[in-house]
Amino acid sequence: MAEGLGFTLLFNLFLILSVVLAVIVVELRNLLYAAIVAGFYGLVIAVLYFLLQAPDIALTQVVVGVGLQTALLVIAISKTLRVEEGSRGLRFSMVWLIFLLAVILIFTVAYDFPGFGQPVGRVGQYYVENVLRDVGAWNAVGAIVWDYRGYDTLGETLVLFTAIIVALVVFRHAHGKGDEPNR
Amino acid sequence: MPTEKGMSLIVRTVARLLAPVMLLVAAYIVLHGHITHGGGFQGGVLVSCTLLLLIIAFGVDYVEAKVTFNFGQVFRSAGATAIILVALVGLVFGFWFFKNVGVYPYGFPGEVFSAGSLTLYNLAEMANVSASFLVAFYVLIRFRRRGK
Repeated sequence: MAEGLGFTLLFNLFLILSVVLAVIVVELRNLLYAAIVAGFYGLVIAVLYFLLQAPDIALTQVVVGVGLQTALLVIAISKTLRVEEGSRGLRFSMVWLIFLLAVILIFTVAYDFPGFGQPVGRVGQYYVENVLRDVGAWNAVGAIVWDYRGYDTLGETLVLFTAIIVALVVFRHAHGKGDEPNR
Repeated sequence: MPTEKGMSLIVRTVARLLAPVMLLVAAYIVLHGHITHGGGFQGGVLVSCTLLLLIIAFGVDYVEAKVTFNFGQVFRSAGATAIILVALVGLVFGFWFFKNVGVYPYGFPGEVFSAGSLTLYNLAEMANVSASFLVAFYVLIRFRRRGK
């Protein structure tokens, strides 16, 4: 665990930056700009994961949150509306209401949290100590994903497979060769 | 939709330079998934993002002529089937589903050929994820609103 004043300052700086970027994403009227700023927000979250020594999650967050999410949002925006319409006053008050609610809930929940780096469950300690004997993989996360918790990963793959099938069913008229409109 | 025709010469040149590097990083992430961070999912998404970059730069028709829709469907189904088959090998040899070391060789930890079947799982997951998102991109980009 990386301790020290520099680490704390850097971590809190990125936390504040993530909140600022999230507010910018909500407040931007041009949805294309909002999607791009959302990509930067995902990058900041990835840096936070990396600072918390979870590089696997950071890598996933970079690839999905910056690459895939931005791409899907830009494609969706290009098919629908570029600029958001609607009243602004209601949205602004809703943002602050949700912000206040989130702060209250987070402090309520965080009061009962275990200490930082002291998890309640002890199964993670077993994985870290025995992964080299059981599986022989240096990457303990990869060993957990495909060996200890193989059924979970099989379920996740099934979810992705089914989701793509549903997407193909919904957009099944889109892949015609001709120029006829979709029905 | 700009993705039907592609973009300017500058974008095409940068995409042409960047795509092999991205594929190399993806191959590293997948093949070293049991040694360093990452794995099949991350590498697969990176492969599909590389193809999306090529779609944006060169147009969807150019890319779909090289990597067809049906090839993507076959590729992702093959990946999903390979995961099941690799897991079933443990059942064949008298152990349980997802049995790893004991059926597959232990190898030398830290080298590429280690950790039993993790490499095979990562490769199959890469095939499944990359082709899945590629097919989704094709369908979403081709989709047009009625009367437009």
